[in-house]
Amino acid sequence: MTTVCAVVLSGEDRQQIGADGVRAARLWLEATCRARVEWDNPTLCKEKLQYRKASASAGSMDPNDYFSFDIGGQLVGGDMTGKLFLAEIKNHKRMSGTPFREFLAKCYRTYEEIPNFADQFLWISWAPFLANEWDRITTEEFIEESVTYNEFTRSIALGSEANSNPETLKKVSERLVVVILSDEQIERLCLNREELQEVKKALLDIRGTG
Amino acid sequence: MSSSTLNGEIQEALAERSTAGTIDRIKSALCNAIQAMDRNVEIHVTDYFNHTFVPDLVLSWPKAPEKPEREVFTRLDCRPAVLADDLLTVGSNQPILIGLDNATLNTDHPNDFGAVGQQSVATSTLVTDPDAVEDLLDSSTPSRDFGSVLPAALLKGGQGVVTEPQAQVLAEASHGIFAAATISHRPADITTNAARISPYLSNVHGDRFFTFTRALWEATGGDPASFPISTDLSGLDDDALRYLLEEGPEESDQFWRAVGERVSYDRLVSLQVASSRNVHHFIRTNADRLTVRVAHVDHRVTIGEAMAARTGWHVVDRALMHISPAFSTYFARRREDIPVTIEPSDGISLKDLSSRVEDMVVESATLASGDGTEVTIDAPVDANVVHSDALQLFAMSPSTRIVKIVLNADGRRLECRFDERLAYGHTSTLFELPILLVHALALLAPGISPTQLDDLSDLVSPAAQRSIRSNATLTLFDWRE
Repeated sequence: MTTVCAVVLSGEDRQQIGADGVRAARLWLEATCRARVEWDNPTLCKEKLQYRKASASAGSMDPNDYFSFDIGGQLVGGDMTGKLFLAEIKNHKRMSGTPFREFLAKCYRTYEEIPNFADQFLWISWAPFLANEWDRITTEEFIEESVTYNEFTRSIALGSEANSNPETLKKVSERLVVVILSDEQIERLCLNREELQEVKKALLDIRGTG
Repeated sequence: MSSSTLNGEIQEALAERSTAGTIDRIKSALCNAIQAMDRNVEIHVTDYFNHTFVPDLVLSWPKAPEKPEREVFTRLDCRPAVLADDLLTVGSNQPILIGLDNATLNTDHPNDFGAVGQQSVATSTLVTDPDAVEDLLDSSTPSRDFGSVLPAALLKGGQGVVTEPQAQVLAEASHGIFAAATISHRPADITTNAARISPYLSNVHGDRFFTFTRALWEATGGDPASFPISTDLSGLDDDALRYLLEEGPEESDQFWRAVGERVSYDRLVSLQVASSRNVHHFIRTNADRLTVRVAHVDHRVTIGEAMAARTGWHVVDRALMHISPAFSTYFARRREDIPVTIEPSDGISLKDLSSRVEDMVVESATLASGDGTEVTIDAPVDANVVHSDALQLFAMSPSTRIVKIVLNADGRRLECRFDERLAYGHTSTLFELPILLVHALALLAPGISPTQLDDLSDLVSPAAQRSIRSNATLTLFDWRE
């Protein structure tokens, strides 16, 4: 399957849109009071957000042998308190399903490499995708299809392994959370910045006593 | 291996796989650095790290009367657009943002941060990084006089973007302005360095900083009229005053008198200042301005034991204490503020009373017999009860002791309990510290009068004595002379 981006963007524009998306998603996540985005700089937080592709040799220093998530942190509240999450954010106006399949390959590989480091895998995008397959995009079958989807996803998830691990597929499936945001939702249906200052006071009182 | 620099320590912490370990190490390193910038700050560490709108740390200054607080947010993503967005979210609280991505903050394109700089000044927010903090700390080493003043001011009221280059300029300007204020006394140097510092301090904290600078200028012999910035020396804020008392130069009586012009007893004790030689100088030179109601002479070595080697004035909780080699004398507004337990003792004999009061006019005397019965004898108007026949008669019994007298002290009624070694103003009457001091010493410290101390001027400066003489109708200083 090939994908075509409708608008040709410069690398800088793409980077800016990505940064805007990370900022907006981060604010939205933390405004829910159910997430703390502690790691939001993949360059600075390599040890928290960066993982080695399955195809890479051990100890490789080649940046191409690594992939990273956009943000990470922990969930808060009820049974989810302390659960670590990693998230990929796509602030695109329209999208094919390929980035999501690549994300699934990353999740698969991350669980294989360090199973305790990601209790939840969050996908946050601004555009719907794979509408015809929406009801199965978090299933084990779809994840298996994704890790073998193309050479790139295979290099991330499997490397030289011929087959995927059913246990990993199951665990990744259980840990997936897919969120579709819109600018209007963030602008009109979320607490504004002044209101968040009030939330802050409550959070410091309730949870912030160190 | 641990790194010796703050930024190195933070980068090492970031290289840990453990998220909790990383956060703990970074916060610990930042807390240590902040504490080194200002030892009066208290730091509340929250459960949050790099959060959009909940701070990592909350700084507070509980000793300051206005109890200021300032939030500190760490930031891992330090791109200009991200920081600008952060300022929109949290800037209304005038916080500190500490960017942990030095490489991005110290970009080769500083103009990228132009908007952040303007926005941070507009919101009185300080945007800084570990290297800048490190540079400011380097400038605050003891070898640099007053080096910790500017870092502490920045912590409370810093604004704008202060990364390494700006921190180096500020450190040099700090060194320059204090050298000008204390050594060269060149107004031009004050002006030049003030211009480099003032953009990075909010108006309020800029005023405080330059008032402090002027205090040093005058303390070290600078011509008050030549100081090039308009400030009010007596308007020193509590932090500046505390700093002067605890760490300032040991200066002339004239300086401490200027500083103390508007410092009341309540303000002095509320500073909770650590004991220092300057505290002694301050009280000694401003004794006439400090009004108290209660004095207690303690022969036992209690708090004084710990301070035995340091005779002179001290502040202990909400009381003032004077230590001499033989006893300690406490002064306070309320009896309950005397910081030692007052042990009851016997009263004194009439013979002792006569020798202690000398020319003082005693209006009444209370005697206690062995069975606890008390009799009070009042003198006729303007007469001295010490010479009355009635007192002579009652005091003849060997078991009878004089436990209390009421006397006229500089036109005000002073009560003195010998059985508690306590002297206090009648009802709510207050006395200038020197007046209560000399009465308390004369009446409650047998065998030692102010003139028998090494030098009375060690307790009350000549200027404070002059002030008392000029204002009082009758003073014990005159009486003793």
